[in-house]
Amino acid sequence: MTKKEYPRIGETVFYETLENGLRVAIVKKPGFRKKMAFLSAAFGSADIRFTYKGEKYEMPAGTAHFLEHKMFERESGEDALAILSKRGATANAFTSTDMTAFHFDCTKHFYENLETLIDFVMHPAFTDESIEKEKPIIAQEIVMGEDDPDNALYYNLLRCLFRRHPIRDAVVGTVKSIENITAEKLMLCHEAFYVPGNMQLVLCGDLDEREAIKKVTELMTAPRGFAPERAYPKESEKPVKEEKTAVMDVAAPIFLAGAKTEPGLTGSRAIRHELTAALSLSILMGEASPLYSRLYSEGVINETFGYDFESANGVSFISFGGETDESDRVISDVMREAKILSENGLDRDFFERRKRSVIGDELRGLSSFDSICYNVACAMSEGYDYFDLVPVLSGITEKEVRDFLAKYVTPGRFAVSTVRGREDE
Amino acid sequence: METINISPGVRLTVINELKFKTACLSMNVLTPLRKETAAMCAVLPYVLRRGTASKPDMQAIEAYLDDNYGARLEAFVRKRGETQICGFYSDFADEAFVGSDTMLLEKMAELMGEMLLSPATFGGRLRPEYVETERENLLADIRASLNDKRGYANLSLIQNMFKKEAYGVPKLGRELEAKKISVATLTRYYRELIAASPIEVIYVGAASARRVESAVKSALSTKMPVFGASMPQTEVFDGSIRKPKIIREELPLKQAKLSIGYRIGKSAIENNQPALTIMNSIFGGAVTSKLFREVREKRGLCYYASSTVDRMKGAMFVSCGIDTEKYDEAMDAIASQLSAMQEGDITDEELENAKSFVVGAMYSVEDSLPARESVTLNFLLQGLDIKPSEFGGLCDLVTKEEVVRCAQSVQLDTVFFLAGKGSAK
Repeated sequence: MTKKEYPRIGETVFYETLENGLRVAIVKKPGFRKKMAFLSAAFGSADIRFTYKGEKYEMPAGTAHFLEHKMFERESGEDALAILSKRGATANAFTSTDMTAFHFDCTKHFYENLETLIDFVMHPAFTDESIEKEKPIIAQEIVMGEDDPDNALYYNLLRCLFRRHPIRDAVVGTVKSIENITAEKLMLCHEAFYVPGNMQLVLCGDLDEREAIKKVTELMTAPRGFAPERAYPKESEKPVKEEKTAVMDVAAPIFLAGAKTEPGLTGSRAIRHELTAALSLSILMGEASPLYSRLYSEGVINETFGYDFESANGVSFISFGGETDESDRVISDVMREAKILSENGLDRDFFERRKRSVIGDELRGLSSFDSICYNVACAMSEGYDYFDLVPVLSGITEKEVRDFLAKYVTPGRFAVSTVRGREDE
Repeated sequence: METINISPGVRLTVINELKFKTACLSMNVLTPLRKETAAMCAVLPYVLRRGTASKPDMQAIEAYLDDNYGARLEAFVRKRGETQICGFYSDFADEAFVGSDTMLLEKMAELMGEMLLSPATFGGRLRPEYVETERENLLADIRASLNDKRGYANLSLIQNMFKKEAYGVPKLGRELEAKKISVATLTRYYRELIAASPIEVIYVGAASARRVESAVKSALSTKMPVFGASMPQTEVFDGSIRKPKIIREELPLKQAKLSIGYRIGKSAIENNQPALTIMNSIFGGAVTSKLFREVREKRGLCYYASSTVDRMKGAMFVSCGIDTEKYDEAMDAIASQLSAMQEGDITDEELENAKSFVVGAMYSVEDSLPARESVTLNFLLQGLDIKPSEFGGLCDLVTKEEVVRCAQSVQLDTVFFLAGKGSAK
C-alpha cells in the first residue's frame, strides 16, 4: 500500500493494486460520518466493437448501459438497490462512453454494503426473461432522453464532429438497438470487461486503510481476467459536417459549437491537455473574461452560456454554447478573441488570477464525495494522479494557453448544432 | 448551532464545522410570495450582483473574487412554502488552506452587504442597463421552463392546483409581470423590500460565532433596523373535501408526463412533521417505496415515478413519465398504492426501509456544505430548532399508526397530464 499526502490540499490517499489487478484508492476524510464506495469497470457505451480471446464481437448500441441496469438483479429475486436502501444507503449507477460505475454512500453498515456492492457487480443473475422485462423500462428512459433538447443539441454536435467513432451514439442506445440485446451477449460483456484487471475501486470517508484493504481483498476474489482489445476509428481534425439544426419545443434557440482537440493522449499528457483546455477556455470566455462581460452586457448571451472540455475513448473536444438569438455573432466573436489573445499575448495579472480561480474550482470539487470518487476512478483508469492537478495547473505557461487557442479555437475546426422552437420554422 | 440577533430583523445562524475545506455564507431576504411582486423579487438579486458602489461592474467583481482564491458569490431566488427568498450565497476557501490573514469571511460578508445595501446606481436609481439585461434573462428563464418537460408538467400542476393561493405563484414569477419591470418600479420595490423584510444570515464553517457575528454586523451596519418584522406565513389546507381537477395538455413528445397533486390535512402538518416525511418515503420518496416497486419495477409503466412532500404547504406531488396510452393504468396503480397506505397496508419492512433511508439522508446533509445551508434555512422557516440528524432521530421513532393517520388526511386535488401527440410517436 502506498501512502500519498498532498499538504497543499490537505488530502491523504492510500493506493493499492491487488494481486488480481484491481486498483484501489482510499481517500481519507476524517470527521465525516458519510462513507462512499465507487466501483467502476472500464467499459462504456463506446465499447461495442472488441476482440476477446481471439474472437471479434460487435454489440448493439446501448449494451453497456443495459448491462448496468441488469446487474442489480439478484438470484433471490430481490433488487440490490433495495438491499442497500434498506440499510439506509443511497445507491446508484451510471454508464458513460468509457465507464460503467456502481456506487453507494451511507452512514452505517459500510462493510456490509461494500460486500453487497462487490457481490452484485461481480455476479450477474439475470435471465432471458428478465432481460425482456427490462426492455420497456429502458425504452422509456431512451424516449425520455430523445425529448430532451439538450440531449439533441449534444448528440447532433457529436455527429457533426465525428464520422464513425461510437462516442457519437447515445449511451442508452435506441429503442431499436436494444431489441437485439440478449442475456448471452450481456453475459459475454460481463465476463470480458467486469474483471479486476479492468476495474477500479475508490473508497472515501473516515476509514481505517488497513481494515479497508483487508476487507476488499477478502471480498474481491475474482481472477484478473483477459482485457479485451478495443480499437476506435481514427478521425480527421476537421468536422464531418459543419452544422445541424433540430426543431423542438424550446422557448429560445440554443446552440452548441465544438471542435476536436488532441486525440490519443494518455496519462500525465492527458491531464495537462485537459487543464490547459480548462484554463484557456476560462481566459477566453469564462465569466470573468472581457468577452463574456461584453456579450452578457449587450444581452447577446445569458447565464446559460458555458463551455466544456471532454475526453474519452481516445478522442477529445471542446464546446461552448447557450441560449441566444445570435449564435453566429457569438461564434465569430469567440474566434476573433481567440486570435487576438493568441497573437498579442495575455495580460500577466489576468492570467495568474484565472489560474488561481481554476485551482479554486478544482479544490471545490474535493468537498464532494461523488466528485472525488468519480475523478479518482477516471484518473486511475487513465493512469494519472488526480490529486496532482494543482501543481500541474500551476505549471501551465502563458505560451501553452496561447498555443492552445491558436491551434484549436479556429473557424475551420468548428461545427455548430442548433435547436430552435417550432414557431421559428 | 448558535442563533444570534444582529439587529432587529436580522438574524444570524452559525454552524461550526471543521471538516470542510470551504466555508459558506448566505444572506436570505424573506418576503411573502405574491403574484404582483414575484418577478421583481426574482430579478432583483441578479441586478444587485452586477455591480456595487465600489465595484461597479462584473469585471471588477469577478477580479475581486479571483483574487480571493476563487471565492464564489452567487445570486439566488428560492421559494419555501409561500415565502419567496432572494439573496446571495458565497463559498470560499477555508483559511486553514490559504492562510488566516486572508480574512475571506470578512471580505465576502462585506461584498454581500454592499450588494444588498449599496448597489451601483445611476441618478439615484438602479442602473438601467443592468435592469434591462437581467429582466430579459429572467424572461428567458421563465420561458425556458418549457424545455424540461418533467419540470414543466410539475410547474403547471402547481400553478393550476393553487390558482387562488400564493403557493401557485412560480418562484421566478410570471411572464406578464416580468415584462413590466422597469428601472423605476424595480428601484422602488428594492427600497421597500430592504426596508421591510427580515433577513436570515447563515454561516457554515470553521470560524467562531463571535467572528462571524462581527463580520456580519459590520457588513450590514448601514441597514436600518426593521422593527416588528415577522416571518412570512404559509397558509395550510383546511381539510375540506373538493372534487379533483384533471387538466390535459398535448405536446409532440415521445414520453408523456403525469404530475399529480394531493393536499395533506392541517393537523398532520402542524403536529407530525416526522410522520409526513416517513409517509412520503414509503409512498414514493425512495427506491424501496411503493411507487418505485409497484409502478416502475413490477408493472414497468414508467422510467421514473416518485413523490415529494412540501411540509410547509401541506402538499404531496407525484411525478412520472409514461406512455400516453398508459394514463388510466398509471392513475389506477398510483391510486391503489395510496389507498393501500391509507388502509394500513404497510409492512414492517417498508416502515423500516423508509426510516433507514430518511435517517441516512439526514446524516448525509451534515456532511455537505450546500445541503446543510439549505436545510438549515428550511428548518428556520419551519421553526424547527434542531440539527438534521436530530430530525432524522425523530423520524426513526415514527409508528405505523402515525403514518396511516397522516396518509388518511391525504386527498387527491389536481392531475396535470402532458400527453404526447402525433408526429413524435
